[in-house]
Amino acid sequence: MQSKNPLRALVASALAILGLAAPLAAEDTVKVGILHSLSGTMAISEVSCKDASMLAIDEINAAGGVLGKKIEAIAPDGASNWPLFAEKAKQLLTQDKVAVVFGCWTSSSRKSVLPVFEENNGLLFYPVQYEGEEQSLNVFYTAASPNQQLVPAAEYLMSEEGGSCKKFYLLGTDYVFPRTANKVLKAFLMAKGVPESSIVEEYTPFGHKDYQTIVGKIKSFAAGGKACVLSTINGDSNVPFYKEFANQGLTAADCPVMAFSVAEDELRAMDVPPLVGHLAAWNYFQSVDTPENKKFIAAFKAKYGKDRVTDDPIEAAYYGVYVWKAAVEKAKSFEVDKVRAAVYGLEFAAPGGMKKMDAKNQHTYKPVYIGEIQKDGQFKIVWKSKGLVKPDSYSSYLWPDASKIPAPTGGPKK
Amino acid sequence: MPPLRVLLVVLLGLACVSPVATVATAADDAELHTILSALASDDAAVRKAALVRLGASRDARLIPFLDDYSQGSAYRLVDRVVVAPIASDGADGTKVAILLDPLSRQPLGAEAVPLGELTVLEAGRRERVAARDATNRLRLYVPDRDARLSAVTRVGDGEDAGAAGVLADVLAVESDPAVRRAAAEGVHLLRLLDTDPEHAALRSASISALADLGSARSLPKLRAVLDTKPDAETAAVASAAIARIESWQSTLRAVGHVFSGLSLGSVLILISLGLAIIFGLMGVINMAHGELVMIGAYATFLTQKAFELWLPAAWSPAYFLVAIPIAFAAAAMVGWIIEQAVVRWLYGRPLETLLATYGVSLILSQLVRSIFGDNRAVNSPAWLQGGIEVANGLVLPYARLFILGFCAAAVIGLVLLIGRTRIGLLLRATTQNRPMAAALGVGTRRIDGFAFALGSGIAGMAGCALTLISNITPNMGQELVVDSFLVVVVGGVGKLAGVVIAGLGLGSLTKLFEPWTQAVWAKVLVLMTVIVFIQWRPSGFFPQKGRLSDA
Repeated sequence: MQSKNPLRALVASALAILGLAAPLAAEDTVKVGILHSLSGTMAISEVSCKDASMLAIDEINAAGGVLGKKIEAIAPDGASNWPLFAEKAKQLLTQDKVAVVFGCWTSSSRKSVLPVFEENNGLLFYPVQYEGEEQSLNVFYTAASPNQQLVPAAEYLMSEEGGSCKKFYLLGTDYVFPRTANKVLKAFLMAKGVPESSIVEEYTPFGHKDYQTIVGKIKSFAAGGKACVLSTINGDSNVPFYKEFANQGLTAADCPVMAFSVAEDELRAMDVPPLVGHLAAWNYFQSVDTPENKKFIAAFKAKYGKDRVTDDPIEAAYYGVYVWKAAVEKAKSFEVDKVRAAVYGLEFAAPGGMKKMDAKNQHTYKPVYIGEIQKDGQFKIVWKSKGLVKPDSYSSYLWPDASKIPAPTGGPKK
Repeated sequence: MPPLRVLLVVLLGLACVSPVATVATAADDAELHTILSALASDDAAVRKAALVRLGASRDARLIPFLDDYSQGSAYRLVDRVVVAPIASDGADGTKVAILLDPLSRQPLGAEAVPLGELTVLEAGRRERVAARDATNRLRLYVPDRDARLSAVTRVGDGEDAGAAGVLADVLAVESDPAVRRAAAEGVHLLRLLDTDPEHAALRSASISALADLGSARSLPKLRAVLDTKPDAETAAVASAAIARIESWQSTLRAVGHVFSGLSLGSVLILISLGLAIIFGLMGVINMAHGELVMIGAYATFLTQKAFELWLPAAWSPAYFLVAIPIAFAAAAMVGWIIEQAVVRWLYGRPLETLLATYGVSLILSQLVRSIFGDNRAVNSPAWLQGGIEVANGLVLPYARLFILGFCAAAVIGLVLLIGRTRIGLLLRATTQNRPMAAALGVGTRRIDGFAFALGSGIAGMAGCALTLISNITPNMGQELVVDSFLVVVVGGVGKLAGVVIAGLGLGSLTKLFEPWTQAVWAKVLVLMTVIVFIQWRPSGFFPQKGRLSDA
């Protein structure tokens, strides 16, 4: 081709290449979205989830893809900005036309994207434990619902093994997860006969750093022994809390702290010695001893570095991709409605062992573990549920009458 | 390393060590080793019995062993127990350690062995509680007075009424007054558990004794006594005791709240001092102030890492003292660069300065996030962990006391620097009347740079101090800058005394509200108080006076 204008020639050839390449790409790949904060305050937690989903996608591609197609991941940055999450979700669903999205961490970001997914009948796999009280047909919740984390933890502390605790200090950061979690915990404890006078509920603002008064209160609360703290303290506030706790002379043996938001990844950022012996409740620990988990940890470390650790949301973000793959293969289609139907009741092998998707309520059957913090920043598993625990989307302690539970939202377009 | 070789190394080591052991203790040691081996039993009752016997042995050498055992660093090797407290990464990535004898703590062989080859003595929560009890019994007789005090307290808090005799034994030989007090308190506490009607008189006497001691620990137990519906006389004694103790405790709590207020105030002063210089003396609104605090915190983190990497472990407790000047220098350097590159071009344009420094703050925090990538942990030095118990139930943490002292030193140093030195004089001259100072030959541009670097450096030292009580994150600056502006605005921009008064005032106010409103409402109330205060005195406690304030 002879052209007087070299720029025009370049554009023409570029167009030609694109024109040839585009149909090829469309045939060989299926697009999926990964929507996490890669910058801003939540990046510290969410980048690990994105890494886990990417690892699963790479593995699936290396093994031949899904229904003969390679997965092409599109990972925009939610930037810890909840309205931006909705914008990016819309872009993924309407412009990129992704088959599925893996993502979100905070409940605020999930609530922000929910209308977008419901309006466009998209599919979201959400990998973080949350407060429940939600059930959308456009979301699969691969992490714990409240009854898979909070209730077993309180039960453990009340048992002889857990120290026969009689007094409970519910301490959290002031936002939706701790508030709802403590509502569930309080309802459970009172149902078990714990008098209201033995339960203290307290909240701190986001980013609270001065725990002197609260630790002083806990100290007099715990003076008679048999007391524990159930902590939904979030993020940065944990370090000042545990430091003050140790400095005022309290130990895990006197008054254990059971944390619901401290996992291996968070422990990397903490001064661990004052935390040794305190507890956490999750559905997965890096120390779960199965061959699949060893393989998973090795693959994760090989891809992202020796000092990286795996934890509960990382596992959930990883196997969420495999759940979707299995459902697609079962449905022999990428269509959201067919895939959704295939997910119900699906049994699958995750790094932490066999798990199962619920037949109706969009959540996941999971085992529950209680771990004790060790000096190396890992957890020693001290208690494990017998088998898998059925998920409650709406806690039975807050909705004693099951018939009043709201119907699921979203779903196929009418 | 194959297991056989592990055994060989250890046996060789044993052969070397054995002659050192004295003949006199050999028999006792053999018995202790037998008890230790019982810890490897599958039967929880046997393990517990072994721990109780260890506790009764009065052999202080067992204390570090029990610590290792609780931490999962005690191992079983064939038929003996060894400890490996310090593990390191071996050549092939597995954990290796030099094995030690559990009693003498002499190395068993010079070569590190892979820990994977050994069976760890698992200590669950129950074992650890029993090990803690045993450690407490052992510590009743150690030379260290603080350790004895804490052990006596813990034994007294136990549920085992029989332990009263153990504490009575301590009273017979103990001479330290605080330990004697805690032991006596413990004896009385444990006697409360004795519900035998024949001992009712003894029990009543103990209740009165506890009231005399003002014992906080006894409150739940005294209430439990009331719950058991005792005879009228005991009930009256117990009620009176509870009332007396509660009134004493509320006095102590008040003292505690005052201390918390001072401590929070000192933190606020520290993070605001630098801002007071830059904003107060130079009139520059530096939105990147919080990031300078963060740079100080990260400089502390790097100093700690450097000590870990390049200096002997014995020096590491000193890292914190070295980190203070390093944090100062790092933040001062960054502050000076900000002044030279951005702020100096914008003097007299406050709005542009505000926007530009806000941009700098975003750049700095994302830069740190990109470099360090993650939350990082700064470990407080051991000598600043824990606290001093000034009265029963009132602990003043060393870290907080240190920050109080550090803050006082920083304020005094700064006042002296500004009030008594030549550079301080030039600084005051420049800030009071820039053209006049320049006319008299003061290099005002250099003084600006110096003042900015000084304020930044103090922010850096605040960041260093903050690592003692908090953690470090790239976005910590954004949380701090609001608090520090609050302090400077309430204090007024004229004098450093404003910062001191505003810092202590806001700290005390927060801690005054917090006990009865919880933290969330305390924050709301404090902010409302500040708004009302600003309405009343728009320029804060110490408004700028003179010609400049009209400009």
